[in-house]
Amino acid sequence: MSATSQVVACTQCGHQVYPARLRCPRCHGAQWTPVAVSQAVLQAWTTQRQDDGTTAHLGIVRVGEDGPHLVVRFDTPPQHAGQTVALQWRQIDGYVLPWGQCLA
Amino acid sequence: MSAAPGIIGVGETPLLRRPGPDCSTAGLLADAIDLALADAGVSAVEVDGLGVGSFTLRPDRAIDFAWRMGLGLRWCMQEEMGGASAINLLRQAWLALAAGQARTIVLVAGDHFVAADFTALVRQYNRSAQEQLTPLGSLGPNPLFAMLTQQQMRQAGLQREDYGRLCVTQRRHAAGYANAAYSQPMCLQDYLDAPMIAPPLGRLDCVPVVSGAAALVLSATPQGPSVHLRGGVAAFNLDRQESNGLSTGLASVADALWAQAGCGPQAMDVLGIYDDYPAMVLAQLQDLGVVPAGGLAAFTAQQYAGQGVPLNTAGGQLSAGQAGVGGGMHLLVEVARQLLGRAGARQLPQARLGLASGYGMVQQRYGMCANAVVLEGRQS
Repeated sequence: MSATSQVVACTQCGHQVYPARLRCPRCHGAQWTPVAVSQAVLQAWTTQRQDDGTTAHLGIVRVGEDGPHLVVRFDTPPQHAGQTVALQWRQIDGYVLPWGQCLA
Repeated sequence: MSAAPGIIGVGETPLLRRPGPDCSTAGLLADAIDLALADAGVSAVEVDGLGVGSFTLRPDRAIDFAWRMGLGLRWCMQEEMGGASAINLLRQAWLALAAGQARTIVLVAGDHFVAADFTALVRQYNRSAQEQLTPLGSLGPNPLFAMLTQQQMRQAGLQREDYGRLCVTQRRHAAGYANAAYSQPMCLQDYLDAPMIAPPLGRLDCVPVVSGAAALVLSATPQGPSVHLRGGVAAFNLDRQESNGLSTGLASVADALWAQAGCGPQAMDVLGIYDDYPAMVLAQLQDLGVVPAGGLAAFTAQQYAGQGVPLNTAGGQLSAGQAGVGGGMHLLVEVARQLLGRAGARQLPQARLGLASGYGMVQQRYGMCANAVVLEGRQS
């Protein structure tokens, strides 16, 4: 089951960021509310070898046309930029982090 | 004698891939200072200003290092903004000298790493690295700049060979620099055959981590050959990390740089462009107006052919090595060295104007800091 989205919106101007910051980069508001984000668009991807010898599939996705960019992890490799990515949030080492699954 | 401050000496230690057991950050910084003072013909007793950039000097700070060096100071500054530190230090030192806060300032930057130190540094670089990137499996800057490179390739129509031409050119330059960590010849096929680190980045796209330090000596009233600041700009987090990172903060301040310098990029005789990854060299060159839009592939081909304005003439970080914060100082020192006319076999004929840039402090996806200076060499 997916944990709560860590994308948040400024309660003053609605600007969305990930992760939350002390002040909104657009209006300097200090209050945030979680935003349910289920999809994003793939911008780029790569792989990196991990300490345990496995390979991590990593990507940058963007939420909407004006939303935040997120570095996400994939279980299976993406194929091309522009792919729609389903987002879920997983608890890893005490942090809630974004995981992506490329949709056809 | 000149009424304006000037750089009067430079120095850099050997950049060591495998430093010996007696090597330390403080020792490397001290050696670089000694080399720069000797180059300037200045005694340590004349130094009344010190600027230090280092990640691994801790637990000491700049003032602790000054104590260990036996320096009494009227101006002391510490910098920890990575690839932007060298130019930050230079701009601040310049203001201090012009304001009469000091008469002779030494700027030094460098680090001592063993592999475990570097891994720990990049995985805990800041809160984003600690809490988002490292737990996700995005370890250090390589995967982030791999994805940035992939986007640049798509946007600018570049191939891996284009980046390779830049790397091969810098290796050719490193062959003439005895302090470089890697100076053996390398060809384009070597670049293409190198193991993949984070596609499309291969091993030769990634700077080798080394131990070393580099230093500059500045005087408020230089006598003899000196290098002067014609213009200097900086951009810190201007886009709030909300763009795609393909353009650096230099794009916002380049016009101001050239207006201050009273010349354009075509007047430059030597370039020192921050080269943590080849893609970022190209991004900065475009942002600074050195290369026109659509001209990146042609620029790398020109460099490969040994034509055009020389870039990173001591090998840059890609071949000489990245000694932590010292990487940016390596580039600045080499531009100043060329403009002082002291580059030996690498000396460019009639080099008078040079451009150096800095870039660094990766946040969520790319660097937040960018700066640049235009320097002018004067023979008296």
